[in-house]
Amino acid sequence: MFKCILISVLLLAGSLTAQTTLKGSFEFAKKPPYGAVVLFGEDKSREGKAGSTLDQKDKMFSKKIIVVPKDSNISFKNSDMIDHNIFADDRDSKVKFDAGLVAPGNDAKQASSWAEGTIFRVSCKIHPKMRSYVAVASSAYFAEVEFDSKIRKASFEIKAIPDSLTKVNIWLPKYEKIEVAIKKGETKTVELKKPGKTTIYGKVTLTR
Amino acid sequence: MYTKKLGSLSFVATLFLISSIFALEPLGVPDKDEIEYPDDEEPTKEEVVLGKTLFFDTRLSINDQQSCASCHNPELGFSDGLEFSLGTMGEKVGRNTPQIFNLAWNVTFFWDGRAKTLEEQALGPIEAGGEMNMPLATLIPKLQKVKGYQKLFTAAYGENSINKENVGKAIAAFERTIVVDDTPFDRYMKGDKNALSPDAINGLALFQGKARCIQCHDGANFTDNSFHNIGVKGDDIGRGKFMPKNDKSLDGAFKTPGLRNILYSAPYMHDGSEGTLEDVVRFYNKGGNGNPNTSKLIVPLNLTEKEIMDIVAFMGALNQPLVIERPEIPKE
Ligand code: HEC
Ligand code: HEC
Ligand SMILES: [Cu+2]
Repeated sequence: MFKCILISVLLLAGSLTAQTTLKGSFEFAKKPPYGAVVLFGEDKSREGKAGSTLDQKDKMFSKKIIVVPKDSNISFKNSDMIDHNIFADDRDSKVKFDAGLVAPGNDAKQASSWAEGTIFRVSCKIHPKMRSYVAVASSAYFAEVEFDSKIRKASFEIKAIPDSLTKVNIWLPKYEKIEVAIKKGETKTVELKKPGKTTIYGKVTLTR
Repeated sequence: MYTKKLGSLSFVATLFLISSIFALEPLGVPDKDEIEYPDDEEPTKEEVVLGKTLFFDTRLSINDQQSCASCHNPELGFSDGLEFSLGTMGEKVGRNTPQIFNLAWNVTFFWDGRAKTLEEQALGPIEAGGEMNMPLATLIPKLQKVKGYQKLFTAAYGENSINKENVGKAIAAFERTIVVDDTPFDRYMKGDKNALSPDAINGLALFQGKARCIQCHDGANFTDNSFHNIGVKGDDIGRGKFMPKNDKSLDGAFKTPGLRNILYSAPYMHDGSEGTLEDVVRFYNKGGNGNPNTSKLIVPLNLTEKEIMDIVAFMGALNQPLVIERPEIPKE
């Protein structure tokens, strides 16, 4: 009986301390890019699990950046009143597909067999102004961060992170990927750069 | 059952009209903050000078006869006044030469949108058999031998930087400086109510209303960056070539051209088939030329003679003569 209580107290204490929240903010020197994905990449618990849906309305994608688990799928839904034809032909990641013409109310699914960490752009053949980015990540602990071209700051939050996960990954299309170790109680700031360039485009501040 | 289906269909049709109105960007003055530069960085002065020099240099063609400016002539609205341009060897090019104003804001290039960036676009005509006919493998060593270019490239990109990538980058950097943003229409939008004549003001209202032009020519640059078959006759399938095989929806569709400085770049359409802006409006007024795959957005407009001329007057108020000084082309 006593033992039982002890265990449940321990479990309670465990669940109280074993989870933390990550809060962060991006700040750019100039016009920000489209979006970013922040995640705890050590976790791969969503690999092969439920896919993601990227919707389209008013000639726009519902998200500027979307996370899709590996070995899953991404569905391009058309909630618009006009046809769309989503495709990818991304020079950096070499991802190439054509989801075909999708009439209003329908969707097209694309299997996500791309490698963990792949980021690519999707667009519409009929409306080239439509643009979004897909990031392949199987972590259950992530944030999709959208930037507004007129605002140089954006903040995000990832909740209920197990203490066992200690490394944060920050991915922005065309930027150098970042990995930072961060423990409970720490605050860290990292600079945003692009491959082969010395310019610092902005920074991210993380607090756990 | 049948009536039910019909009911929902007309419901969809009504919604379609509403949503297509909602999705339109308002007309206005172009915002330079909205330009997407490669790597989000504005080009340097040196890059622009280099790009401009390349743009005007006939060395870019195989027989030293033709520069980009031969077809995109600044004095002719960055076009050439011809239905179809002639390539450097004298043969006819397959499509009409478009003007290149305010392409800094564009996201798709060529009449059929086959290039995604200006950098990518710039290398196209140099190598194209029917245009400048100049293999890049020949052009690069040719430029490397020119002392003037050694200097210009070094200033823009550092030592030993004469390569194909930088040729594209520099030309694109120059093209992004060709900006029209101070037309009578812009001054009107900024509050100078006398900047437009009453005819042009009426034309603006028609453009956004009865004449339905804004359905495709929307936003600050008068283009939705999309593709439509507006009923120009001919067998060029345009954008259709890039769609999946079973999809004929965009056969005969071409990119909606921006309309800033459009007055200067006659003749019009991808095949140069309309000689004047008045011809263009008359073409729309009759609902196109009856091309089988014409967009549903193109319908007879029932414009009066006065209304036709007012729309022409409005398009005439989208002009701003740009003085582009010719660069000095390196002699050696
Ligand atoms: C022989 C005439 C000719 C020459 C020379 C030429 N162009 Fe063009 N240009 C054209 C034609 C014709 C098109 C349209 C072709 C198409 O869409 O298929 C075009 C299209 C373009 C476009 C796309 C415009 C738009 O709205 O999408 C740009 C930009 C452009 N040219 C820049 C250049 C540059 C830079 C050079 C020099 C490297 C050049 N052109 C040389 C005839 C020419
Ligand atoms: C359904 C979409 C649509 C509508 C509506 C529309 N346009 Fe266009 N416009 C286009 C496209 C696409 C082209 C190029 C077509 C081609 O070359 O086959 C074009 C071409 C033009 C051109 C020639 C530009 C050039 O560089 O050659 C002018 C001028 C023009 N439109 C003005 C108008 C006016 C004025 C109206 C209203 C009366 C109008 N448009 C309505 C889509 C549209
Ligand atoms: Cu679309």
